[in-house]
Amino acid sequence: MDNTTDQRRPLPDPKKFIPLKKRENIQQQMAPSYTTWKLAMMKLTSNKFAMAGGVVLILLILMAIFGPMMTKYDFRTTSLLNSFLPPGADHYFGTDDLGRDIFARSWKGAQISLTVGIIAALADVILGIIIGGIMGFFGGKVDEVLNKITEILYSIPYLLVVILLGVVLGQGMLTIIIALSATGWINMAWIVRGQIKQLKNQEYVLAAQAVGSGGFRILFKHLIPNTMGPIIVTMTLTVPSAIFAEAFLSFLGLGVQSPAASWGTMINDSIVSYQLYPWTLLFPAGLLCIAMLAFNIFGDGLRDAFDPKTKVE
Amino acid sequence: MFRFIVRRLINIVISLVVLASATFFLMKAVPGNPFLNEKNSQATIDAMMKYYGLDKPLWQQYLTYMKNLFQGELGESLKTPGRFVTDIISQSFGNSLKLGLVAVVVSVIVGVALGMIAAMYNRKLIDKIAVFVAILGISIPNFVVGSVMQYLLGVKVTWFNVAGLAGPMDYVLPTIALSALPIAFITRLTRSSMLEVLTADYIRTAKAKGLSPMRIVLRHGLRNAILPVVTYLGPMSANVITGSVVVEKIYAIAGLGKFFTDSIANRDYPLIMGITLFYAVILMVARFLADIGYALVDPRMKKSKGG
Repeated sequence: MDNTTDQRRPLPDPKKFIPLKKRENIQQQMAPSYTTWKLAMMKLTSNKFAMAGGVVLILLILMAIFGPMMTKYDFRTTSLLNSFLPPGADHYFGTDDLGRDIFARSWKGAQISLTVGIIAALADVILGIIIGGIMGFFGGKVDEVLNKITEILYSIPYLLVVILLGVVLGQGMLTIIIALSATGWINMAWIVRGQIKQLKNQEYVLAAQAVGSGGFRILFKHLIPNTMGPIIVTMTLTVPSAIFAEAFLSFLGLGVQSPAASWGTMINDSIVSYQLYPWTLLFPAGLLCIAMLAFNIFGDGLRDAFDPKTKVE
Repeated sequence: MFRFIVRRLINIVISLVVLASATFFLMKAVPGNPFLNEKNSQATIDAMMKYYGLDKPLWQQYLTYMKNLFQGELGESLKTPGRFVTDIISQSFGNSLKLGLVAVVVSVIVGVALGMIAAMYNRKLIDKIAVFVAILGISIPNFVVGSVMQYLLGVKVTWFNVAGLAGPMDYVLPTIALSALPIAFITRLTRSSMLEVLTADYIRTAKAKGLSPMRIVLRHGLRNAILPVVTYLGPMSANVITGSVVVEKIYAIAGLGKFFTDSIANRDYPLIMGITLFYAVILMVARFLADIGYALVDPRMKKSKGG
């Protein structure tokens, strides 16, 4: 085919070809490019709501560490003469039925609730990454069998499992963590599985295979790091549900037992007295709500930050 | 569609067998035995163990237990001998069911309405308020909602009874406590799916035809935006049931949840096992129905599954 015979598009006059002026800083005219992480961080920091949640979280963690030192009362010391004292200069949050200082107990409770929430979420992440990674990466029969197992496990209501394990294993923080992570990893595994399935056909996996990397190396070195965004988001949103589950169990009397304090235990203890002495309920319940709210708001902000559809404002 | 239903039913049966076995062996793993207390002599304990068949080898006990389960027998309560677990469930479930159904209906109506309004006024103040209320609903545990309302509206201002489920007014507080979380979830689901639907071409067509915004949202938008809410109905029944456990404790309602918490406190193992399994059946049936409902509502499902 001869292009010169094409009558519809005559060749331009060669005299009109003018060399383009050399442009300096061609980079400046393009939209700046950022890595996923940098972009996510920019979106997150521009989200005031989420940042406020983050600040509250940091404050809560600091108070959980230093709060118990800020009062002269120990969280365990009972003093029946001083029971149900209202909040004041001496007992900042008042005292409970046994005269224990609610301020000290609240921050001790913060330690337990936050520890349970964070450790349970970490355990979910580790189990979820390993199992979900294996499911997604190897596919085929392995995936089918594991998927069937997780489907069956998932159809069993998780709070019932937690209650059952709580009844069997006895009370305590470790029980709650075991009970929570026994069922909590499934969701994470599915998220990792979906991500890996999407990613494993990418060129860089082929390249890694070409240079002779083994399956596990590709999985943990190349694929998992690329799924970190959704994993972190899910983890941040797992923490409040773990905190809730701990409080729920303690409220039913299956969780942390007195004299140790968790917010759920304190709320449960206050049930008999709060109609007359509302502060016994107010402080632990308020802190529990604030913590869950802060985690949820921060987690939502993180999810928006990693979502390619949202833009930097 | 038929294959889908059969597959799901098989899954439910397997899950129940797994859960039943797990509960059985978990309960057996508890140290000591249920008759151990200072009043009972060794002879009494042995006699009771024999009476309840607890002296047989574990596998025989397991087989008897499973056989009884398939016949719908859940055993006897240990703390109140002579009362059968199935009787306790059938007597107390009515209250829980009434409360739960009211909560489900209220959640769906309020949640969908809030989500719709939020989507219609996207990025305006109303939307922001709705989003914030939703995140509050997700963050505040139901036992906190329940006890704070009981204090404020039952004790401070005596508008409502603090306990019981005698008249229609007594449903108000427990229902709010139960539906706060589902309302929040449904609001979020409806809002985000409605926002997506509202950008679709047929909505623009409807606008071009000159339909009123209300009519567009209700007739054209809602029909498609409601799909995610249907899928949530299954998990929601789980939330309502676990919620009812604490709400019934707070408001002293003689429902199944109350018996469940009592049985946990008393370590009444047959009752715990029985109610757990009963809850599991209810939840699985609810999820199953929700899935079928979804398949019926979503035209794509019909096509791909061959009707």
